[in-house]
Amino acid sequence: MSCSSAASLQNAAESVRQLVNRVAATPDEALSTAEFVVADWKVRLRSTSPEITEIYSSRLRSRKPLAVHSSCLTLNLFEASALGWASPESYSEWRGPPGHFESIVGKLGFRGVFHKAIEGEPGRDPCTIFDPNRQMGVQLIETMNNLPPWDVGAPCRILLNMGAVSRGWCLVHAAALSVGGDGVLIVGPGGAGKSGTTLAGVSTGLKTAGDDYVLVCPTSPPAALRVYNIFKQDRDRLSRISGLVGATTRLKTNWNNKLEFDPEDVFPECIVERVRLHAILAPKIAYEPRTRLLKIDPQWMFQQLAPTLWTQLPGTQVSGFRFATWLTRSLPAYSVFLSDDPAEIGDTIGRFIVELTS
Amino acid sequence: MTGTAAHLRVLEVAKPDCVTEDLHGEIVVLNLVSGVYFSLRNLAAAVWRDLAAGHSVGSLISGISRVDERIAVATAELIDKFEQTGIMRQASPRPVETEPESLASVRTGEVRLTFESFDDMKELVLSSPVHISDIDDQMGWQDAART
Repeated sequence: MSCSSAASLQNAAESVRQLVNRVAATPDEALSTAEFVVADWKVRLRSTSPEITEIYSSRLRSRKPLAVHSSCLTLNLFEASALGWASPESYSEWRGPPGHFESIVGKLGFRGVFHKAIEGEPGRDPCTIFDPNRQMGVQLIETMNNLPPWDVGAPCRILLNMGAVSRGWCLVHAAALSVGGDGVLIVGPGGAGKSGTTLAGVSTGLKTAGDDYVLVCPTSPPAALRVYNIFKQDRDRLSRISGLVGATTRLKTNWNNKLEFDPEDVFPECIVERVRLHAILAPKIAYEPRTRLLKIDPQWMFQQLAPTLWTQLPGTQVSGFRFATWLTRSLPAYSVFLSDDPAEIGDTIGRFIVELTS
Repeated sequence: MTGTAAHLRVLEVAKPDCVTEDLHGEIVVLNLVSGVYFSLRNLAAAVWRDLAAGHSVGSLISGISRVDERIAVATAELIDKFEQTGIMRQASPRPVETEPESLASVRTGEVRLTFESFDDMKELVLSSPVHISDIDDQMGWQDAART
């Protein structure tokens, strides 16, 4: 690296440091704030938008909080326009070839993600920075109106994962179902049947820690911890489960043509905070006469899990790869060929969990 | 390569271009430059651990050849693959304090040099920047995995 490029990297790092310090120094009085528990974290959410604070905290807040064991995690969701600050787009020194911003924040011991803006368009993705020492994350965006539409479906996903990685955990793109605290992790790309399997499970009395993302921690056995109080499902699949059509009629579909709803509105007490994991399942919509499970090679399961961690959780790809390696070698893996009957699917998964742990 | 040169040939894991995990005896290696990842099991994993610990190529091959000449030839070919695929590279000799695990494995009849490569994540790996601090992470589960 030349002296000039080293110096410009140093200058860019200094501007990141100043921004993070400025965020930390911004008093609560200038913001809307909320405190709640996610997993065993006490989370302080601070935002320039009262609406974002309310929506995000309601989607994250534990209703049956576990004992808090870790230091407080502070998440700052700031709009530059609301504070009169420079837009993240205006930091030209943060722009560069792939990996440039990551190198800048890495010099400070931080993690960060700042996607390259499309030329001629305003930057849509926020600039995200996490300081593991202070357990503090920043998501800076020009205005919340620019937030990508999927952000609200999994609030603070990237920051929560960076916090998780800093303590050896991982936010995993997966669902979890359980019986009596013991259960399974359900993985697969979008459309594979994760959410449908989870919904089928809770409709037959199983508990869940989430249908899209869960935190996985390296206990023995590994545990899945709830992050979000929200399910996402398309109207067609919802219509096949008794009681859901009426309960969700008033809802509008999201950017992905799915309904987002609180599953406890329909299945009270269906969310649990922790699931002890005993297997990983990869569902496949197969229209089988009866749902069947087939034990599979860990490497095959790894190939289902690792790519989603790589693409969905920027800034921690290698950690995600390594975590997927460990997780898929620590638990037995099964392919699940789904029937078309949600009640039958739920019963079969429930019986499988009971047999697995008895 | 002459016998003396082979005896002096020492390899190391090609960090930071590669990240490795040793889980339940299996080595998983991701080459961030090529986007290909590898799974090494059985005797192949033992050979990897020996090389990573600093055993010279020659000392491993000559030790194994005293037990089974054919396995020694196959092991030498495997070690060449480690270099060809960019997951190990030449290194300076360094002191070794352990007995070679691979030789003990061959003596107990282990002859499976299981070395698989996968390129299903190649496009993903090559298209996204990797966080340097991410590579050196010591994750909490690693201790659990070793016990």
